[in-house]
Amino acid sequence: MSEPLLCVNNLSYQYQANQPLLKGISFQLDRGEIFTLLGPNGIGKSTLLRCLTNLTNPTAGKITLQGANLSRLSHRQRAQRMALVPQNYQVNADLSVLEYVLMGRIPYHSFFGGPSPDDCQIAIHWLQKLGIVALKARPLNTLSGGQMQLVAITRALVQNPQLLILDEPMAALDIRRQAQVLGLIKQLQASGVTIIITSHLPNHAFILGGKVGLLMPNQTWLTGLVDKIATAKNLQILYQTPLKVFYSPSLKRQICEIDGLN
Amino acid sequence: MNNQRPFLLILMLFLCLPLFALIALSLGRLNFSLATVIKTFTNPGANPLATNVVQNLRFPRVLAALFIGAALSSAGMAYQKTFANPLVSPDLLGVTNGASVGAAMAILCGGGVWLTQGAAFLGGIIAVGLALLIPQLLHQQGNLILILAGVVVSGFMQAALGLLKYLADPDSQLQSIVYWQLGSIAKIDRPSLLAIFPILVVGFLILLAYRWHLTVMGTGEATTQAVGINQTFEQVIIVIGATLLTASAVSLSGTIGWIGLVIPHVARLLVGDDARFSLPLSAILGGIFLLVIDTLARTLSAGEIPLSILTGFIGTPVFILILATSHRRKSL
Repeated sequence: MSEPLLCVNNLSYQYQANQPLLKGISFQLDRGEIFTLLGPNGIGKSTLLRCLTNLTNPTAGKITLQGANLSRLSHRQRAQRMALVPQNYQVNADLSVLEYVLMGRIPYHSFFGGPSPDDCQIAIHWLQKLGIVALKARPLNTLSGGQMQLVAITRALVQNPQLLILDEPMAALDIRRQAQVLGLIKQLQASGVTIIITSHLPNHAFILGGKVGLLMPNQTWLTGLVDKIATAKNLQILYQTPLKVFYSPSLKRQICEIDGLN
Repeated sequence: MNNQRPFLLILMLFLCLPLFALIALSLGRLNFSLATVIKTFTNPGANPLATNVVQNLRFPRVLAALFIGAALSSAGMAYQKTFANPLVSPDLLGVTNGASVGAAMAILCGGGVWLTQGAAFLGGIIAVGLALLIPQLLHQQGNLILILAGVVVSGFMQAALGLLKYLADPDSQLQSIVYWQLGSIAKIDRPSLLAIFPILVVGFLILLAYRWHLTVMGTGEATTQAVGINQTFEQVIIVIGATLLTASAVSLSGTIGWIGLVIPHVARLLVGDDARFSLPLSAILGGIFLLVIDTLARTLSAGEIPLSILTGFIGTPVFILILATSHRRKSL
């Protein structure tokens, strides 16, 4: 058995002494696994993602990526192995979509280099795959929130990562775009990319399958296969809200809905 | 990619530079024909008066205007990109106030032109050095802490400048300090141009080398970090490059406002936010703009009009005109 792609061991993070935000976080991901991170607002999801991408140093614990200590990797080496799509944000710049997507090739450029024709081909390839190649000449500041989200995901894929980290990629998308992104994530998984995703909807975890991590109140960490961990009991504690989780025979998966509003 | 149009625009303007320079050389209190101006280069003995005026008085000024304008506007572009903030000017980290303090000290000590220039350059470098040091001492990173440090250092330098003005002899030294602060390149000579030229080249090459990373930084920290650029480290290098440019420009000319803030916007209105084009274009436009301003400064009236006054009065309507006619307006 080969070593796991990503191994997080007993990670903790605190802004100030005695005010822990994250505590005792451990999990492992193999090639081609999907991991959905669930938790209420402000529980530390984005901070955990920042630690995983080496943008913030954890207070304690160890992260290894393909057997290498993550904190030893340079920004550039990290960006060749993992790509991050930050939480929904707008880029107000007079740049074309293609120019922006080409920035994803920077980890492969020499210090002073710029995009090459090969880079352009890679960028076009992914723009086609996400169905937004028609936007390639459009200025970024004319895109809708949903279009920008797809452009940001394309930029991440152009980095050719083994690990793709998506911070709430569905937050700004309508249902059609959500279905498109969820479908894309499954496609990428099938081609061997490992994916970590955060979401506010437990249903996304049920659709994607694989593993989940629950950032529970009081810094408790639960992780495991989605059907075992994302139970009604755990999700109710997680969101402090009455919820029902039930199996839908027609969808052939679990569904989570809010309870007690009728 | 449609890169041809911006490239052609830059090439065309660059090739026009010698023509602009020749026209500027021919204008002044004595007007010469372009042919006479060219003859002062090819056959200096033919017209000793024209040769003296063009070669010794005007030529250093024309070169200085081109260099200083280019330096200030490319430094401004680099600052706006690396801090991802379009309201930033090269003064942000205190270089201008630091240079003013250096120049004022030299004037108080009775130093000549060379001492004033050297002290102004050092003052600018020291101010930015302090601003870069403060986040390191506080173990904090990010744009905000660096900008705050710059504001603090600028304020300190302003206080120091106030003190020096208070101490200065109001009949002679104070006048010199105030005049220096208004900006002028009337007293430029060839040796000081030659001394500053290599520093300008180094500073500009640093920025040019980072043109693509500057484009990324201009889109904000989120993308910059995601694609693996070491923002903290590269920002320091870019600030050093831009500071070399600004400090040498300011040490030659005194404070010239407006150019470093507004010319970069003119450039991005014309070619967009890709610094691979907007950075060189900004440099060329800045050079041409200051050349026009300085030519007006020495032809409009018998006295010399300080440059900072003209840049504001002429630049503002020009900028509004470009804003009103640009098809890229929506990006502002």
